[in-house]
Amino acid sequence: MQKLVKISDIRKKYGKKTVLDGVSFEASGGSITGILGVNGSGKSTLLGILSGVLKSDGGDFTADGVSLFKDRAARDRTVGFIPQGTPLIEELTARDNLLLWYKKEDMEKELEGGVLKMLGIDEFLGVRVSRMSGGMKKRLSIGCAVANRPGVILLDEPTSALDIICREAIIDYLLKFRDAGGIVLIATHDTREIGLCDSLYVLKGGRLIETDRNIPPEELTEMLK
Amino acid sequence: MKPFKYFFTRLKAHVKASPAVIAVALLTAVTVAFLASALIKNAVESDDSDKLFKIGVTGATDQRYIDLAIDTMRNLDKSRFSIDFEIMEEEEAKSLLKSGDILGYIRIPEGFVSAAARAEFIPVQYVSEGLDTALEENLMKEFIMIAERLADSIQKGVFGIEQYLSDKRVDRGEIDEITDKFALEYAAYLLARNDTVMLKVIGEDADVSTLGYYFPAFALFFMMLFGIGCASHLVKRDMSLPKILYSRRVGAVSQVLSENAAYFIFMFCFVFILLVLGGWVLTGDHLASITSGADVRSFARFALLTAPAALMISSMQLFLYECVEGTVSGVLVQFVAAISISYISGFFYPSGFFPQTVQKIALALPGGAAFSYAKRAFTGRVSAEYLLPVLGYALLFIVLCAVVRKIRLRGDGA
Repeated sequence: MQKLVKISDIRKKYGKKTVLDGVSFEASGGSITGILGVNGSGKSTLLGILSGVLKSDGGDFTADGVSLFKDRAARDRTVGFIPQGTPLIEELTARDNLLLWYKKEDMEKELEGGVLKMLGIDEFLGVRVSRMSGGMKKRLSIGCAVANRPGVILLDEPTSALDIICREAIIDYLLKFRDAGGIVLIATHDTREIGLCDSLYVLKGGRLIETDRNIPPEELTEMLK
Repeated sequence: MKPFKYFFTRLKAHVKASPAVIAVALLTAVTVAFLASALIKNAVESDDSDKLFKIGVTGATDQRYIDLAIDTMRNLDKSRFSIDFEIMEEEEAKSLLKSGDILGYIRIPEGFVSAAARAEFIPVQYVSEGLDTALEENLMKEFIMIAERLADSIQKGVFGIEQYLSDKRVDRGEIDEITDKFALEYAAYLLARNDTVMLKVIGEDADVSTLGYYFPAFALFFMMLFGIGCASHLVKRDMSLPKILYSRRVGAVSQVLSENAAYFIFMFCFVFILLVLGGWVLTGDHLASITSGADVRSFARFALLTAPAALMISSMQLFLYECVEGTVSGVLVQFVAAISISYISGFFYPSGFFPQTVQKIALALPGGAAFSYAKRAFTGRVSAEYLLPVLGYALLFIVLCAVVRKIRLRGDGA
C-alpha cells in the first residue's frame, strides 16, 4: 500500500475551454478523499487523467515519489479505476468477466475469503451481467478493478442510482479498504457521500478548493453553484 | 493485460450470445428475401410497358420471318427481365452500347432465315459488355423459344406445300417423298435449335452462371444482415470498458483488432456452415440441374474463399457500430447499409439495371469489390486483382474504427 500520493498542477484544456487549471492535492495512506463538483466540472476528466485514459496538458501524479505518468507499469500496479457506467461484458457471467482481469487461481482465492467474497460476488458468480441489478454490476466492476491489488482506487460516481443495500455494501468495502491502508479518491456530485470522506475538495471553474467535510449542506450547495 | 485475453473473452461473449444472434439473422434474412422477391415480382407484373432493358437488332434484318421473330421475342418476354428490341444499324448499336443506352445487340447474319429453313444454322451473334451474364442466359433461353416458333412456322409451311402439291394433282407418292424430306429437315432443325445463338460476351462476368451470380450475392447479403443480430453486444453504449482497457495499456488499435478478430471468426464460422449447408441442399437430386454438376466440396471451397469478403464486411459493421451509441440507431444504420449496398452492388438483381456510371461506382465501392471477389471465388479463380481491393477496404475500416475509438476515449465526459 502507498503511503502518499501527490497530484500536482494538473492542467487540461478541450479546445479553448479550460477544464482543469492547475489542480493539486495530496492524499495519504488510509484515507478517503472526495472531489465534489457539478456535472461538467471536470471530475471525470481528472480521474481519467489519473487513471491513464486521458493525457494531461501538464502536471504530475506521484505515489511515494514515483511518477505514475512516466512509469506506466507502476501505475498499473498502483491504481484501480472504476469509471461511471458498466465496464463489463453484458453477455458474459460474473465469473467470465472476472477471468478477463484475474488469473483463475487468484480469482478462486479471492472468492474464498478475499475481496470478491467481501463484495459478495460469490453469490452471483454464474449470473449474466445483462440479468444483474445495478448494485451487482457496480460490485462486480469494483471486483474487476481491484484485480491488480492496487493501493489507490479511483471511483467516479460510485453509488449513484444504487439502492440503499448495495450502496451500504460498497461503502462498507471502501471503509475496509481505507482501514487496510488504501487510498480512495471519489469523484461525486452526491452530497450523501461526503460523510464517507476524510478530506473534501470542490472542483469549480477548473480549480480545486479544499473544504471542511463538516460543511452544512446549504453552504455546500451555494459553493457548488 | 494482454490483448489476446481480451480477444478470447470477446469470442466467448459472441458464442454465448449466438442463439439470439443466429435467430435474428435468419429471421431477418428470410423476411427480407420474401419482401424483396414480392416487390420485384410486383414491379415486373404491374407495369409491362416499363421496359428496363433495350437490345438492338442489327445485320440482315430485312429477311423474311425477322419481323415475326422480333414480335415473338417481345411477346415471349415472360422472364423477370423486361426486354425491348429495336432494329438499328450496327454502328448506331455500337455507340449506344458504349453509352450504356442499350444492354447489347444482336447481329443477324446474311441468309440466316433461308439457312434455318434448310435446317442449316448460321449462329446469331449477341454482343454485350458482359456485365450481366444472368440476363444473357435468359436471353439465350428466349432465343431458343424463338427457334421453336420459327420451326413451328416452317412446319406449317410443310403442310402448306403438301396442300399445294395435292391441289396441283402431284402424285401422292411424290408428295410423301417431298414432305418426308421436309419432315426430316424439320426434325434436324429442332434437334439443332440449341445452336441458334452464339453468345459473344466481353467483360468480367463472361463465364458466371446464374447460380454463380446469385449464390455469392446472397452469401454476402446474409453476412451484411448478420451484423444486425449482433447489435446488442457490438454497440458501445458506454465507454467504461474501453477506458479501463486503455488504462491497462490495451490501446485503441489492440482493442479494435481483438474485437474485429473475435467477431470475424464468429461470423465466418456461422457463414461457412450455412454456405456448405446451402450447397448440400442445392446439389440434391431435385436441384441438380441448377448446380450443373457442382458438388458440396466446391461449395465448401467457395465458403472458405469468402473469408476475405467476410473480414471486410465484419470490419465495416464494427466501424458503423463504433460510430453510433444506441442499439436502435445501430440496427437502423446496419439495416440501411446492408440494403443500400446490396441493392447498388447488384445482389438482388443484376447491376445492368443501373446506368453505366452507377455500375462503375458500385464496382469501386466496398460491396461491389466484395461481390466481384466472391463471384471469382465461386468459380475458384481468385486473383490478386480482386482480392487486394477487398483486403484494402478491410484494413481501411479497421483503421477508421481505431481512429473513432481513440477519439471517443479521449473526448468522453468532463
